[in-house]
Amino acid sequence: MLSEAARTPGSRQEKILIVDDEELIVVAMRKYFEGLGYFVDAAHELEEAQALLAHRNYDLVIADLRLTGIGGVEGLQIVSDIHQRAANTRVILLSAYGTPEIERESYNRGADAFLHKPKAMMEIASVAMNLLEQR
Amino acid sequence: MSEIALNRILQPGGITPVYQPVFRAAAGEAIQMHGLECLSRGPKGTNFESANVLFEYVRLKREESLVDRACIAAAFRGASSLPSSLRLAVNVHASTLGRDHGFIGFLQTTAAATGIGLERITIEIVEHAPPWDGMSFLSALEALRELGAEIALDDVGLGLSNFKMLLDVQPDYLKLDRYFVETCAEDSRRRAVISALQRLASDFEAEVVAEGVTNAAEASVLQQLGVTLMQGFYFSEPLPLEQAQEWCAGFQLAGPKASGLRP
Amino acid sequence: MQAARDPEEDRLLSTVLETVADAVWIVDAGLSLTTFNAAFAILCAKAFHSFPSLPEDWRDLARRAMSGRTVSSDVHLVIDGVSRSFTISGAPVMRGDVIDAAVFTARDVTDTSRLGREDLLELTVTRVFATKESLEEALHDVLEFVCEADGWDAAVLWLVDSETVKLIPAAVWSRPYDGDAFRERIADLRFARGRGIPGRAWSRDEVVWVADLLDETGLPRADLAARSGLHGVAAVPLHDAEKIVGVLEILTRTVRPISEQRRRVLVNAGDSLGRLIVRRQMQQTIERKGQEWSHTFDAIELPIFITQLDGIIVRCNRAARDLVGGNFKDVVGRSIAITEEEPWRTLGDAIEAVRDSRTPCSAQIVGNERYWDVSASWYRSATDERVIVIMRETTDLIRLQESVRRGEQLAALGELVAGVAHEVRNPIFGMGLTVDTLQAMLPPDQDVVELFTVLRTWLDRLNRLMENLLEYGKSWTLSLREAPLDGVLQEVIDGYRQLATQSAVTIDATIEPGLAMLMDPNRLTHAFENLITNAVQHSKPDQRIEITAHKLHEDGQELIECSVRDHGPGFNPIDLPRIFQPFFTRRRGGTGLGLSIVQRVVDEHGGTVNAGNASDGGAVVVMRFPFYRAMG
Repeated sequence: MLSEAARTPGSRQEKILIVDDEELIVVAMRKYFEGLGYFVDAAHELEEAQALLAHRNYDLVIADLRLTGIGGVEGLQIVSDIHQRAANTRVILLSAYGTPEIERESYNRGADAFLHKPKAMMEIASVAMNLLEQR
Repeated sequence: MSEIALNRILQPGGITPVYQPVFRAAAGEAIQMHGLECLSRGPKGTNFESANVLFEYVRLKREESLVDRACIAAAFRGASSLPSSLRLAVNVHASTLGRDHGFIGFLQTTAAATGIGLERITIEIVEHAPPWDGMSFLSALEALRELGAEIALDDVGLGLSNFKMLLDVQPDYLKLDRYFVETCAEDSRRRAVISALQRLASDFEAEVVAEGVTNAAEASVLQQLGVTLMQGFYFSEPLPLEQAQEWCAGFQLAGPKASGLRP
Repeated sequence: MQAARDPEEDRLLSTVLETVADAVWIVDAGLSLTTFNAAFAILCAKAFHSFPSLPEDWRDLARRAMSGRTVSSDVHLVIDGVSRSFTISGAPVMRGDVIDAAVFTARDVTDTSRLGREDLLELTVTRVFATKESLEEALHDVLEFVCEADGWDAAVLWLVDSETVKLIPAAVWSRPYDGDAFRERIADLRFARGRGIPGRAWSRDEVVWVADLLDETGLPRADLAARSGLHGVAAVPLHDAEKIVGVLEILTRTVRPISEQRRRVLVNAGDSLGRLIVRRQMQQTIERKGQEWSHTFDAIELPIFITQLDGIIVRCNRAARDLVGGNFKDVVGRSIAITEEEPWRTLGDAIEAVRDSRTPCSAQIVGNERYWDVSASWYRSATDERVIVIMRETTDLIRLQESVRRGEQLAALGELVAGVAHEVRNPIFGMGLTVDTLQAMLPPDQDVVELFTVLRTWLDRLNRLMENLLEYGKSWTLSLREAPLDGVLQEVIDGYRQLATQSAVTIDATIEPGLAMLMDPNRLTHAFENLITNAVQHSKPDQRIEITAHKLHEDGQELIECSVRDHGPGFNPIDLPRIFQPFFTRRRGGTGLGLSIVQRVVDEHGGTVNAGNASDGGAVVVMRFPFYRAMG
């Protein structure tokens, strides 16, 4: 549960980029992380995310692997992109697919966490905050 | 689902034009408004409101031509209510000129529909990244010239805006990126670059337009180096149509002072 | 004339000589006549108009006999103005190691020769062929007759083999006392045109007569002849019209010079024989082909009827007969309208259609839950008009098509369901997040918490349903690898500890180690999860769940048996037959797919699953899998 103090907007400086083509998920996550005090941007498609990453700095990216439509390793493009532009940016991947091969490949490309959907919001947040604290 | 962003951008009203004044500020002379650069903002409230993000996205989607057309349509519609003595500069991707074979026709139609003479138009070529069809590109430029338009080369001195491009394009204006302008007052090497470009421009019978002028010192240095066309926050940020209209009206009627411009 | 001869012997000899009808004479080494009988004297007088003496022509024979050979010859002598045939035979007489005389006989064989011989041979050949069914028997008899009647010792009937273009022995005959030796030696011989005596007869197309084989050089069978004691040979080409179809070869132990009459007889006989052989061969071919056709006709599994234009069946194959039922004689002669029903009704119509139009007609018949494609065509032979009806049963094909269509529908449905499940999962996830966020934003009011818990439970259930649907709909391609069942089970059980604790249920696990299996661990895990979830949900607090896994030997097979048992209410016996069916569950809150998935997974692993009630209450599900023993 969010504490009072945490719910002050902008109380934390970190910027999170949520990448998911499902609007519902974006809204819920945005509300939650903004409630925790983070700045949140959202992109609905891979190119939008790439455009944002080109011109802004994010501390954390939470991305749904379904994005590139095909599934499989193409969805991992975003991880490579992030690593190219900003090695400091942490990446959490969310996926319904999650075969061991995809999971392994994600970590190979530099993902910091791979979570299987469905996951409770609290769990995602907890992983996110841990990663952000590590920086 | 992933086409929504692009569709929204291309919808009517998806692109909002803003206009940034370009001034001729020659040393010892009154500042004159040379023209306006038409810039674009994406749909309000979205990530694409910022031009950077908008165009990065458009380029990743390889839909430069569609968006260039939308931007020009929006810009011209607005500009039809601005004074006709002012030049209008619009940004067009090199790939659009190279690949969109209907683009020039579109330009003519849109100009005619909005009552804007093509002789007022400056085409600013951006993002000249290959691959594009060299022949189509150059013949498009020729066609534009024949229609009376002028050509500007954006980001001169950066990236692929190299000497070969200069020779191929033979622009009327060389746009000097803010990178060279900022701190030019303190940095002698920057001044050297600016000076060299100005000399090159004059040999090409072209003019340099300095972008991103943020203070008087920079303006002054530029003047001394022979660069007289300038734009930047020092003068004005890009303005939405209404404000641009007011600005122009104020400027024309009352001269520089009335519009709060400092000589 | 020698001294010291026994008078008794002499008198005996004289009596014998005079009794015998044939002319007999004896010559000595000097070829002088030493003894003769009255018949010989008469012969000399009548034929040669001379006193008894050795005729010039016969000196040669005498010489041959004196050199140690038995001889024979056919001669013609004019007796009382009539030409008569005589056979002369002669043999050497040994005294000790030395040949000191030769004895001869001459027999009048005119009657047998002329009257009987020419026709007789032909007649006999014809008779033999008429009465003997097999060509081989007929040939054998012919050879026997020729040899017996004409005094030959062995005969071979060579036939031209069209494939190799060589003469092959079709029948061999030799005198009984000779045994099988001669036949065996001949059996493997083959003669090309022009080779050997038979080959010569073939290439020259004329009777080849060799008085004494031993006089010839370079004959392929010279050694055979010598061993068998054969001297004289005649080879007669056998004709059918202009073509030579074989060679009749006859051999004798005596030296036998050629006789014109005999040559003529043999030539005529050879022509008859040739014709008869060819005819018999053709007959055999026709018979064989007829049988082949009959077999083929019957072997065809499509029922074929051959009918008259009015529909009367004149012929049918076995398949057709089976279709009608009964014997062939029950079918042939009946009308095709066996009954009023199908397929006979439409068959009748088809034949009518063919009759009216004289063009082929086809139809499809459905009758008695069987499907047929039928074609009927018109046929005219020299004498009759017929209709040929061929039926092809398509029942299986149609059923197969139906089942494929059903299968495709099911598959399409399965895909649809899987697609829906997949699409629904994300909104469910989004809802879950929204619920979480909402709850985090609101003060922890008890009612609010309770409602949120309810919301989450609904969402969990939806999630599990979607997962189960997807799992159920997964295709059957598994990635199987060897892994111990105990490991998988243990992991699942460990994962359930928390839930078990929450429900105050204990899990008792008795798991044997080393239960190697070929498995897809993910699928198997899913199946076990379903079973344990069921067990936990059916248990009351403080109850136990028992899970066992161990090896089992049964009927020579090594199996792994695994069971999950709870102490809850157990299965309703009425439901037991259907509990593995999808969505059958009576339990509220369940997805209805749990057990279906278990069965599916067990099937995929080549195992069996049974569900029932334990004797002391509670449900028990027992699975058996094949134990995997790696090779080597």
